Amino acid sequence: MREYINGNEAVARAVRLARVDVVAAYPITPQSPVVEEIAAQIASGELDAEYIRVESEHAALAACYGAAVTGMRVFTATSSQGLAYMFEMLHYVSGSRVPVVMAVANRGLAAPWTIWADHQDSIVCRDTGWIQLYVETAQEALDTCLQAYRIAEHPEVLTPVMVCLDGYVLSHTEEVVEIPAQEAVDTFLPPYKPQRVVEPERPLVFGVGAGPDLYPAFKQAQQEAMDRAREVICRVDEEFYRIFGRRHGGLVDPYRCRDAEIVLVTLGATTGTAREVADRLRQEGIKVGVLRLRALRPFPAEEVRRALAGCRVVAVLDRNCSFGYEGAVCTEVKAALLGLKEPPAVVGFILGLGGQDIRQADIEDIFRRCLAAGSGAVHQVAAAQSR
Amino acid sequence: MLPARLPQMPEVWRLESKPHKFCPGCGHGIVLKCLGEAVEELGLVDRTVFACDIGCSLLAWDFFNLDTVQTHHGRTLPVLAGLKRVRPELVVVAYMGDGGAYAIGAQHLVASAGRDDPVTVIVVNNTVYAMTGGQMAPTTLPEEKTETTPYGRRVEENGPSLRGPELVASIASPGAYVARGSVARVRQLKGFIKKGLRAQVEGGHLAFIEALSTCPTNWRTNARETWRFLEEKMHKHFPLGEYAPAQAVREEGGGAQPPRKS
Repeated sequence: MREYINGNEAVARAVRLARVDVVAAYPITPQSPVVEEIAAQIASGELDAEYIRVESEHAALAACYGAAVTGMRVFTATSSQGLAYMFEMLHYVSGSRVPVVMAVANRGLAAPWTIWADHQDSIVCRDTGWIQLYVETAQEALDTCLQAYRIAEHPEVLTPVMVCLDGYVLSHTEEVVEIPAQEAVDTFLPPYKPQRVVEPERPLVFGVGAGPDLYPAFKQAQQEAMDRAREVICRVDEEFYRIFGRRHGGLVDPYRCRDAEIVLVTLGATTGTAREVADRLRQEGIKVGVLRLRALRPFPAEEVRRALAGCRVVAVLDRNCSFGYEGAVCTEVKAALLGLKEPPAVVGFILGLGGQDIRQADIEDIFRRCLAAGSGAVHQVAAAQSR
Repeated sequence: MLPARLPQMPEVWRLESKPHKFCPGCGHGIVLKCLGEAVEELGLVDRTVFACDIGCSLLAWDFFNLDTVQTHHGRTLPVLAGLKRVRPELVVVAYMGDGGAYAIGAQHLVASAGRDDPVTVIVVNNTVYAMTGGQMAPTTLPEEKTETTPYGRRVEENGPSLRGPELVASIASPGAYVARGSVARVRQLKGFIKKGLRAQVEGGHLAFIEALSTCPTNWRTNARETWRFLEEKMHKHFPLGEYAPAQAVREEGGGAQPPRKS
């Protein structure tokens, strides 16, 4: 069935189809419609789940954690300050290895106060031990939320997943979305069979105290689970394709990169704009491509290296800033290219902060500047210089 | 057509930011007018710092010609506690909604009341998280429909509607001032705010004033229904008046007693 819905509604549909047991959330723009729709689904009986109307995001994720240690399938959603307020619990959830799935409608962080989109909120959480997947369309938001449970609950992974969708551009913009049939989703995503849960007969400790002798082993285990998640993310996307006929690239989503002289690296919804520009420049005979990172954690270093090895200049579009250095994705791409025999030049661009539009003209300007850049030149371009 | 004589507005209003950003029928303008007049009449304009929180209250960030600080999620109180500690001669006003004060910032309210921070707190209660689109708040009335309680708030599931002044009075120190007013009783509300400012300035105590307010946008009510909801439902559930701090009651009477409504 096809519906004309926005990204928030697509996420809510996925939560229903995934037969989530517990939802705990606190409203924050631009995420609120997700949890409103879920509340309506539960109230009308469409979804048989508990909805906890908690007092804050900190409490929302804590309630999800509590429900998840009993082996329930749980969901929450947030944005911006809400995600920042969850920061402490993010580590608790990932460190305790409970498979929570959360949608993040990306929005800039205050101050100054803003409700508009950029990736700063989730980017600053990339070291919290959560898997981070960035989607490009409402359809991909729905599909990825379903995939996220398969990934998070995989016994070799057991790591929570953030599904990040650009605020407004995806969260509030309608598009035609294919809603999978419940039976097909049930085949793809059977009920969660947890291995370790809170059970009075078999007591366990979640959030054990660990001294210097034990602590590193826990962190090593998390790191190894992230390494294994790379393959699981790809496999789950393939399996999804076999059942639903759609796939989203696994870890990375390259477009016309194979013979490209210049490749623009992107996250999220801007990618569509970048592809349009790439197509137009290709008609002029300029060999450009676009590489969308679908996974930021685990970082697909190998796939990035493979996709970018042959090009002359790599441009990285960051909707975030690691103040005092550069865009965070730019740093990560550079690191992935280290050790290549003839590494491409990497040029970072910070654009689209706090909802600033990223227009085709901006992307074209990035490609043209890179065309002019000599090989080996590595420099950072300040935010929105192209205006 | 404009009335022949426009109502007098406080001089402390920043005219460049008018008309204000609140929805038609919103009560914020009335509360802020009361506050502006109270600050002027007490001669506190040149030493008042206004602070607003998250939610619709933050739309007042440029409302006054006063130094203004905005933070999120109930943090307005610890922000002002810090400010006041080092600049005790300033008069500080925390302007918050029921979401910021009673939900996400409840811990800060409890701690501030416990410390008896010399801050005047004004909480505008419209029974919903209004800026995010009208979801259930702690103050949502039983059976009230919101975006997250589409068939009405069920008390068995979500508990009863929270009463802020009663909560604060139960933990506030002697000398603290606690009251609940309403935008439907403007003179009384302004009187409460004035007393609340004096409790801070003259007594060095916490003052807590809840102002019952309206949100026709999220209530989906017309003018008559809006006013009826406020005066009939809200006034009944949230009694107007001053609330003596329980600590003071205990000192006077000896032994624990329920908070007394004065």
